[in-house]
Order: sequence, then structure tokens, then C-alpha cells
Amino acid sequence: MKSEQDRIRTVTVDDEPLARDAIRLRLQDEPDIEVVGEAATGRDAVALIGEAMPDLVFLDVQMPGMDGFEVLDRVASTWLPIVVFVTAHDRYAIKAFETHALDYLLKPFTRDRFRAALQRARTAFASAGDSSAHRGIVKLLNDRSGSAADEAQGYLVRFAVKHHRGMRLVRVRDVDYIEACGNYAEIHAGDRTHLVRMTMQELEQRLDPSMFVRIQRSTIVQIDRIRDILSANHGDFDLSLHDGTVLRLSRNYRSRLQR
Amino acid sequence: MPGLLERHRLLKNTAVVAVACALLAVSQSTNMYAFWQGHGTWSLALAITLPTWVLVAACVPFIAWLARKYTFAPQDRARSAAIHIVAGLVFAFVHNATLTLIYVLLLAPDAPALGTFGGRFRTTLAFHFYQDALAYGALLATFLALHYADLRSQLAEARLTALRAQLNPHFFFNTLNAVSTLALQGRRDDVAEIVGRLGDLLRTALHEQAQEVPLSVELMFVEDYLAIQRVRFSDRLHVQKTIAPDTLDAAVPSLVLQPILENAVEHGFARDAGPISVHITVARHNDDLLVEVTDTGPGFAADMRKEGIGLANTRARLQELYGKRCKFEYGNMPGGGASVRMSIPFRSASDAAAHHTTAHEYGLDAPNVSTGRL
Repeated sequence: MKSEQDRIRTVTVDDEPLARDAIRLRLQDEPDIEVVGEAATGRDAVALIGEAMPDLVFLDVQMPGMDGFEVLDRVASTWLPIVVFVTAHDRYAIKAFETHALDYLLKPFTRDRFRAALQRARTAFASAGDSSAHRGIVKLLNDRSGSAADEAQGYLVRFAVKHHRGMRLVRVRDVDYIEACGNYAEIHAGDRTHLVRMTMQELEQRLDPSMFVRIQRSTIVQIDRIRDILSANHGDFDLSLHDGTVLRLSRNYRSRLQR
Repeated sequence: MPGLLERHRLLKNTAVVAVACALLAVSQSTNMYAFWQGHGTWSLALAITLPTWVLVAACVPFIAWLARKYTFAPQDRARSAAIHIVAGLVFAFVHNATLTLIYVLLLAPDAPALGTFGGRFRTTLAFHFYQDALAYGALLATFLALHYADLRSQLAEARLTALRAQLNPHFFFNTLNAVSTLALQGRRDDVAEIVGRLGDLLRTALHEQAQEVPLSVELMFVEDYLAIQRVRFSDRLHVQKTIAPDTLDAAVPSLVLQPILENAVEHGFARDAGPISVHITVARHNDDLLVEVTDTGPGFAADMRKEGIGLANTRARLQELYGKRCKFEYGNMPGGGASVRMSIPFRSASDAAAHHTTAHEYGLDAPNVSTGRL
């Protein structure tokens, strides 16, 4: 028996009780899986995933009201689990999964197919916290939210940030400012701070220059967040942001803001 | 946009016919002028040949229209034959009169031997009447062939749509998934029940040929469908039926209730996991059959901009079957929940079968032309 901590905490989302049963019954025999909840509607799913922060979610795609994609979109900024999509028949969704190399189960499924999906989920779990495991889902969500154009230009749309033993997605437009911190960067978004393994130089290249500007060697700020520019010593300036934060604008970088 | 498309096609076809007739006229007059070897001008040749082609060009759309209206359908054969014989005669006489007029006006002054209009007309008739009858027949045959080819492809398409619609893949695969789970849970009776019901549904969907069926038959289909949905949603679905006894033999469009019930069930469970009730009411009101389906689900969204495929298809199908004699409306009930109402002419199914001409009778082997479903 694995220790409590190593078990994969799993949630099943489907509007049909029998469809949830189908997954739970097959998970029963897996010692490393712990079922921590079930949801019958998209709305309940968002609440459950945000609260329970499961490692793995079996997510029905076609639910009336709020479909599986929307559930993910809403929950991603809080918690991004490993996802196995489940669908009865949805050619559009299947095409999207194929495009982004995401795993999915077609209802009804065989034991072997289920085990294969579970095995892949285990592999992803082993590398959880590694943003590459979530690349497909991030791309899928970006495609759907219409930010594909930004992505096509090479600009970042979301940061996949480590959170406990998993990931959450931070929308670039929610970021206030970013500070260098060794080999990492500290992303400040609202009252939250996240660490990502990126250099200032990389960030400057990957962020849309019409949205973000570098104001000194170790700081990048979202332009819309700046409220006032105040004169300080030696030709430097202080930038005060809407949330009250004050950042130093180095004179060497002043020209970038003026542009 | 069918109106626009129709008009565009008409314009194009008219242009094609006009150009073809003009080319034929030029070709014939050139030929005639060459044959004369200098005994007449090219413009005289054109004056002699052109009226025939103008007449043909003018008659083609009319013949096409008649061919579509009187198609020699089984119950309409004698009338079609009579109409087309009369039209053919008119065509031949008008053409011969035109020809005679040309001879008399253009040629007679130089050659009095050709005689008066009356005499000349009889001669012309003897020469041209049978060719004209043949020409009319050939044009008619062409348009009838086009018409039936069109009809056949339309029917094939409708049949496919109907089949796809009745076997909603989402419903079908989800039901199979439910069966799979029931088997894993060892619920043998439920497996047998749901497989039996699914078999009935498939049989009806695959073999139902009639556009209209008695209400009692439709209700059996509904019973199968709802029984499956009850198992899928674990008895959270309650169904109540209020059917007036004198309506059981009434003719209703086959599978007309299914898309509406599907809306009620699938959307009913969308908001929360609580139970929902569906109430089906059928009653007769004077010459109309009233059908109403209400549910206790979330109802139609206030910002609903466009009706779903299920509703749109049902509306289109009712319109096609009953024209202005049907009503179809939906909305939310005062206490919440959706309500869909329809009113169609009341007829007993046995009468309806006798009166209703199905495509099958055209020998085209077309079953149910239904389009209803989500």
C-alpha cells in the first residue's frame, strides 16, 4: 500500500451517475488511486476542483450548461490537474484532443483502454509540477479563449506555475509585475506571487511589448498597471502602480517606457 | 435564402437558353443563305429563321414550369397528359402561325404562287405540325427527367438526415456506456431492460417508413426512450402523461415528441443534480390536436438568441406537413420550467394514411422524410 501522500487524488465529472460509476468502479482496484470527489454539473466541478485540488480529473466533455472545456478554463487559474477527457461523441472535441496530443476516453470504453489512459496519467503525475506535462492543455485552453493569435506571434498567454505538487495557470494579463530572483522570476499577480524558471531576458522576449515593459535590470511591469510616474534622485523615477506598489524606473530603461 | 438561389438559377438558365437559341438562329440562317447561292440576303434568311428560335426561347421556361407542375405522378396522370397535350398543340399552332405569317409577309409579295394566309397555314401545318409535337415532347421529357433526378436526390438526402437524426450518436453511445456500467455492477435485470428498449428504438428508427403514425404508436416510442433516460439518470426523471382517450388514434408526425423530450431531459439536468418532472398532455380541441410538453427544468434562457436544432427542425417539419394549419410555440412557465406546445389538424391515423401521398407512391422508395431532432 502506498502512503497517503503518494496516492493520486482523483475526481470524476459527468452529468450521468452511471457514467461516474463506470469510472469509479474501474478505479476501485487501483491501489494508488484515491477518489476524492465526484461532480454532476460543470458548476459543481469548478467548485470541487478548486477546493479539493485533485491530481487527476476524469472530465466529461459534453455536459449541458457548462462543458468540460469551460470547467477547465474557469479552474485553471486556481488549479490545473492532469486531465483525462471522456466523451461519448463529439468530433470537434476529439479533433482538438488529437491536435494537442491529449488523452481521451470514448464511452463506452474497454478495460484495456481505461488502463492505458490511467497509465499515461500516472506518468504525467510522476512529472507533475513540470510545466511540459501541461503544455497540451495550456495550448487547448489558449485556442479556445481566442488568444491563439497572441500565441501564434510567440507571445506568452499564460504562465504554468508550480503550486504545491501541481500546476496552476496564471493569465499574462493578470500579471502586475515580475521581479528577477536568481535563475527564477517572481510573478506578482494580485495578492499572489509565483515562481517560474525564466530569466528577465527570456521574459522580455516572450511577453507582448505592447503590454509589458522592462523598467530596470530586474523588473518588468505591465504598462496598464502604472498609475503615476514620480521623479526620484539622479534622473531615476518611481512608478506607482494601481495596487500601491512602488517600483524604481532606472534612467537606462527610461527610453523603453517612452516608446 | 432559397428564394435568392432559385432566382439566380432561373436567371442563369434563361441566359443559357437565350444564347443557345441565338446561336442556333445564326447558324441556321447562315446555312440557309449559303444554300440560296446569292438568291437572297443573309438578313432575309435571319428574318425567316429567327422567329422560330425566339418562340422556342420564350416557350422553354413555360414548358419547364408546366413539367414541374404536372409531373405524371400516379394520381395525376390523366390530368398531366391532358394539360401537356393541350400545351403541345398550342405550341405547334403558334409556331405554325408564326411561320405562315413570315411566308406571307416576307416571301408572298415576290412569289404570289405561295397563296393566302389560310392556304399557306394548312400547307405549313402538314409540314411542321408533327415536328413541333416531337419538339415539345423532347423538351418535356428533358424537364421531367431533371425534375425526377432532383426529387430523388432530395429524398435520399432527407432519408439520411432522418436516419442520422433518430440515431443521435450522443444518446446512443451514452446509453451503451450506461449498459456497460450496469453490467459491471451486476444489475442484470436493468441490462436486459435497457438493451430491450434500445432494440425497440433502433428498430423504429430504422424501419419507420410513414411520415405520420397514430399517437398510440408514438407514445410507445416515447415510453422506450424515457425508460432508457430514466436508467441513465437514475430515476431522477419523473414522467406524467395526460392523454385524452379519443386522441390515441390521431395522426401525429412520427418521432415528433422525441426531440422535445430530449431537450427537456438533457437541459433539465444541466443546472443541478435534482430530479425533474416531464408532463406530456395531449387533447383534442375542435378540429385540432393539442400536444404540450412541460418540464420542471431550468426553462429557456432569457438571452436565447436562436432556437436549437431540435426546435427548429420540429418547426420546419410541422410546417412542411401541415402548412398554415399548425401552430408551434414554446416558452417558460410562470412557475419556472419550459413549455413546448404544438397544434396540428386532428385526423384519425387511418384517414391520414388514405389521404397522405407519400414519396413511396412515386415508386422512389423513400421512407420517412423527417428532419426532427437536436
